[in-house]
Amino acid sequence: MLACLLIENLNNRLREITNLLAFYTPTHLAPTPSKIERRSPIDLSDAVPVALDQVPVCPHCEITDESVYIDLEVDEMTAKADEYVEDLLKEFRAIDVEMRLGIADSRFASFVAAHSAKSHSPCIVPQDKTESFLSSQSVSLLPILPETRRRLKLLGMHTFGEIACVDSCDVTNQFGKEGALIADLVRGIDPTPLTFYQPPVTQDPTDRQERIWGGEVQTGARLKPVSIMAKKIGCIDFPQAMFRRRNWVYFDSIIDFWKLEDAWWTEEPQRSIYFKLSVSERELTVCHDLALGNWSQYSGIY
Amino acid sequence: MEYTELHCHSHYSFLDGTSSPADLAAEAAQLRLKGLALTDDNGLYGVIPFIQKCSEIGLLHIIGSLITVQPATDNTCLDDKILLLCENLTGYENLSQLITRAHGADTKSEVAVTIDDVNELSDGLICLVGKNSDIAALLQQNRIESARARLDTFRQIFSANRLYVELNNHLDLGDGSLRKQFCQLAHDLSLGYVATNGVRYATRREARLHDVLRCIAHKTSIDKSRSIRVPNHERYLKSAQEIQVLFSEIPSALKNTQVILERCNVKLDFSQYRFPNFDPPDGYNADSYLTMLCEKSLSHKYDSISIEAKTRLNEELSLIKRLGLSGYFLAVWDIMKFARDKGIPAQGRGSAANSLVAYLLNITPVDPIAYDLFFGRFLNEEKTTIPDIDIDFASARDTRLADRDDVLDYVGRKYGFDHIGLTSMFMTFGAKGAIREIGKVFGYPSSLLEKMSRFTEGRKNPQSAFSKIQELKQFDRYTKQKRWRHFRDQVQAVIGIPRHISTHPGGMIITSCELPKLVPLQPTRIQGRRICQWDKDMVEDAGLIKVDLLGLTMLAVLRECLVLIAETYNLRFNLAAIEPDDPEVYNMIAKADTVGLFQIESRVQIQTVPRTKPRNLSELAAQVAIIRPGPVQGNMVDPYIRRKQGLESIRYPHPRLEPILKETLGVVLFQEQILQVASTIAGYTSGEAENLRRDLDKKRSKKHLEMMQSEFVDAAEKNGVAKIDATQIFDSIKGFAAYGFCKSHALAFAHLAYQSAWLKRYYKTAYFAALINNQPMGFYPVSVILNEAKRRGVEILPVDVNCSGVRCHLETEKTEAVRLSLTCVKGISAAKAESIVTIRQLESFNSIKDFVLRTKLGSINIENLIGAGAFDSFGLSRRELLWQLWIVDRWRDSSLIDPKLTPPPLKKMSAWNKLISECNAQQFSIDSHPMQLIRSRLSSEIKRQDALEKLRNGVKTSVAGLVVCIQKPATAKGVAFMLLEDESGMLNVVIYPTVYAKYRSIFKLSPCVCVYGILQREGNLISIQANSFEGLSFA
Repeated sequence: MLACLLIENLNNRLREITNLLAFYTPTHLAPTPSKIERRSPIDLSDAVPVALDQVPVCPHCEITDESVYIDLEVDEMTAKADEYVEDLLKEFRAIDVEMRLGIADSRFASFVAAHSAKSHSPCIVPQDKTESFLSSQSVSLLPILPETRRRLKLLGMHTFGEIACVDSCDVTNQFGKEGALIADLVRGIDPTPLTFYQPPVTQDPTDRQERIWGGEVQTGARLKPVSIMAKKIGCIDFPQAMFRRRNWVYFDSIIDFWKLEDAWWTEEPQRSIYFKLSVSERELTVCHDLALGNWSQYSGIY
Repeated sequence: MEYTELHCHSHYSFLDGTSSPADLAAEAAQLRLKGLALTDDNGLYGVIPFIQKCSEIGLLHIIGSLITVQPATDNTCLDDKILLLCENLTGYENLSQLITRAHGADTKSEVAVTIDDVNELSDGLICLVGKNSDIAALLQQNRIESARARLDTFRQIFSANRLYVELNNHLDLGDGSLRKQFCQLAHDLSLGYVATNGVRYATRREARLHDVLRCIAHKTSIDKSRSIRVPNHERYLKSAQEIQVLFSEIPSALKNTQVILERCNVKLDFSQYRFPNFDPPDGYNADSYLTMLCEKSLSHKYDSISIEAKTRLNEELSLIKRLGLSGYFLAVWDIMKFARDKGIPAQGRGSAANSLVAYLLNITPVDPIAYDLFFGRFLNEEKTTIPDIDIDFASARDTRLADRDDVLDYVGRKYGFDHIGLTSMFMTFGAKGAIREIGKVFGYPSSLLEKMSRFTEGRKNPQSAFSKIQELKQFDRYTKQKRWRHFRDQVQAVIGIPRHISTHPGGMIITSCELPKLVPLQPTRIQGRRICQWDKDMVEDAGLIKVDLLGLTMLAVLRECLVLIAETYNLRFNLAAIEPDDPEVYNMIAKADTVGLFQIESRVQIQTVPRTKPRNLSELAAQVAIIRPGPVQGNMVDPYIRRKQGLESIRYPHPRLEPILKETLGVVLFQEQILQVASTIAGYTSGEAENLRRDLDKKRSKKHLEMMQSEFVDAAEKNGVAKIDATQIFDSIKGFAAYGFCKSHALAFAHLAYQSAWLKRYYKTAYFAALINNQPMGFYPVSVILNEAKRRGVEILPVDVNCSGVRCHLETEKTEAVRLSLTCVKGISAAKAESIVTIRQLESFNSIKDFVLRTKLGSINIENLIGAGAFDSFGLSRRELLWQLWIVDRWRDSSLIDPKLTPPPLKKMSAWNKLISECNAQQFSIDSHPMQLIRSRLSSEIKRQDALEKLRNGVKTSVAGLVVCIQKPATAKGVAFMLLEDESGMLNVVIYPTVYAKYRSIFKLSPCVCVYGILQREGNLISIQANSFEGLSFA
């Protein structure tokens, strides 16, 4: 038997869910069982969307964008499948993850069962009832091209049962390879094996750079507040001296100055004037935040 | 120090400027600038209103444009722009021609001129090179020598005398160093420099809108727009003091702006550019040839020539000669002659129909003497503008038939394509478009924007949509954010700003000189057709003559109907010669059997014609004219209808007005009556009366209106009319003037309305076939027209691959019926239909396989044909046909495989499925009406519309149907009108504001509704006053 879990926003809570699934990994399958510690549900709820390589491996599960398939027939589980499912349901409820669970004897049937299930209440299809369970299901659940789905509907075939009434050869004749798949699936035949989860490799997030006006600045370049103040500064009347710790610091000239007005539509609008100054044979860029009135030294690249 | 802003963009820089030329001029005057240049991107779009405003407020103006030049091959700058300012009229002509060249021959080419073009047309122009040029890019790359060489190229073209370096201080990063580099270059090449601010908005508060417009232009969201926005909000119109501070180190940059202002002096006067001279035959000049044509026609048109006709003709001809307009009339006559020779139906409309000369030249169909039309409305001695002649030509949907496009080509060939141009229209942001486009900029989801768009439907102001959305909790996460307020402000700010330029439906300028010297031309999407950069008002204000050559589909309907009658019944007749007062035709109109008729088919017309019951062409013209905002605003509709019904006695605002208003039962219905009222009451001359009408038409300010009223009342008092009467009379014409028809125009339209009614009355099958062939047109979708045809007893036969043609035609084998055309089916173009018809001429199609293999049409096209029932005659169900189609289609390229085509047993299609498949394939079903299929599910209390006839006035009732349209006229004080169609007919539903507000989401979202309300009966006319609505589902 196979279990299919349909989980909303699976990717956003991948870390929690894979942690949870990993904890329930049968011990003989777990790569480093000793390192997986049981955490409380609270500990698991800290996750934000994470890179997939940060989550543990679950060797008995296939994880897709919206669903998790679990093989319930790996050695250790066969006998304790009911208990396992019960535990999973409790855990998911505890971490407040919306999930629908279907159990059936094929991958596709379990997927359809999960669709029929209510949240946290599993839909279990007995092995000998698969075809009758499937017959009333909508063709929209078939993993087929939208065009094939459209054609089925135009032919008046809205349920699996209506397709199953047509000879498999005719369905194959009409839809080719996809027709053969359809003819099998609507009869509960799905030999597709599970592809067990392997985390992909992602890019180093520190590589990212952000553009600013006229150039690039490394992430993390910030305006560092320093104790520089001016009596009066602005685009009209330029300062000839600046005040630092009660002492006047004279600068030689203004090399350039520019004004930035940005993000006015956000909670943190920017209105600043930047001055590139020559101070004792070195250059210094200072920024005057026109909204807050404070001064800072600018150390980013512009 | 004085300052003139030499670089200023208005909203005619399309998405790179926010203020109108008039607002910029007003702000410049406010800032006490000496002068202002208008320099939009590759355009002179705003020049006319700019000059008008500058003259009004006494500001000196400069005409210019920021022109894109193809960059030199050795550098990387893609955007090389120079600023050109006109020194004199030669400069203006050159600039206009340069812009025309920049726009090229088709819309796909990049807008830019070559340096050779600039060299050729540089006379009279002053050039400013600055931050927008590729020289700036070269300086930033430290390629000083390349920059110097490029600047030297311009120096050779313009000489040092007419070339300046443009310096900016926008407080952008790098502005300071760029300024220094430019100053150095100017010094090296002995050039002057000027300060400008590259203005994009009149005041700083519009800067945010500019940011938003840049995002729309680049199709990006505001969050990702840094690279395409300017870094700050400094591009506003600055005072001399502000500029002086910014350029304190180079004061001569300000002085030079004054030098340029003094040098630039362009006064646009196009009065010498007349309409091209018509080349009369030997022995004639234009005047004598026109006289000859008119006199010849006079004896044809009138059995006996009255003195009145003779006198009027002489008066008109002498005025036309005095104003030098004979050539103009002959040119229009020549265009009409071409149309007639080519079999293109055409007729003049508008005030030209007041002219006997136009009637005699067959430009208009209305006899101005028979209908007592006032010539002064069209032309008079004091008229300051040249009158437009508007002509409608058939606009055919059948590309095989000659139509308006052929006329436009003829005019181009006759006068030269450089002497003609279509007038343009500026498409401005409306509430709905603003919400959608700015919403995208702010990153709002389409679900939210769609909802808001629906709430904005039919409203000019978007505020109610914002209020309604803010009430919906589901959108709280958006509406509670700070950016929501910005979104709302920017939507409000953008409304009315031009979004892009488009083509006016008919206006065409024809000039004796090359048009690109007067106004820049730019290409349209139609190959070889060009529009000028001014709209019709600007063209008129500039004093250019235009002719409106409009496309009118109804003329094509009439032509096609006559062809069908000739083909089917072998009958040929001239519509112009039919009996004009046939009582049968007027009886049909009086029964509101007007769907598909010209001008009298709308919901409101259907509601009023049974009450007014027109019995002749004059009354029909009144009917056409009355359902217009003018009479509605002037409160003239109800009095007219009640007087026509004999429910109210006829009263005149003043006894002297009885002869003028007698025909229209004491109310003002036509524009001519305004002129006559002004002459009779206030003693105005024809010219003064016409000026009054035009001033009222132009929606002047309240102050100006009060001034006009005071002048009118004073003149009336002097003319012996009491002040109180004069004031009342002025009030009644004030509301009317803006949106009224002139009588001649209404009569021309009434002619067409009558002809369409006559054909519908006597040849309804042919008429409906022609009507369907020319869809979309008129007020109703094709489904409504088909249902109407069936209700009127016309049999409609479905599309059939072996019987249907390219156009709908008549079949008369068993009974008379309309056979729908192949082109009724979605995706089947005229060319595809033509090919099907040609192929089947050899042998009829006998199976789907045969059809697929012989026609080679795509499977989607064939699916639609199956859905429409075009293969039903093959004896297979539509599902079986689809089964076969897809198999044949899969193997169509493989001749070796013969697939099994026999379909398995497939479920039979329900009537509902059939209806859906037909609607998907051709947007209508001829077998059943949706209401017919859901009728059984409705309560028996919900009546069919034909059952309402038995009910008495005032009873509570309910009906259900498809919503054909909802109208909420601005003049109806919030009352909305819905047209509801069921299987038995159409019904008007009146919705009062409170009911509308409560249920609008139901009838806006549901195609089919149930209405509960009170039956209102007036004679045979039935409507429902709605109390509540319920949405009906087809599921």
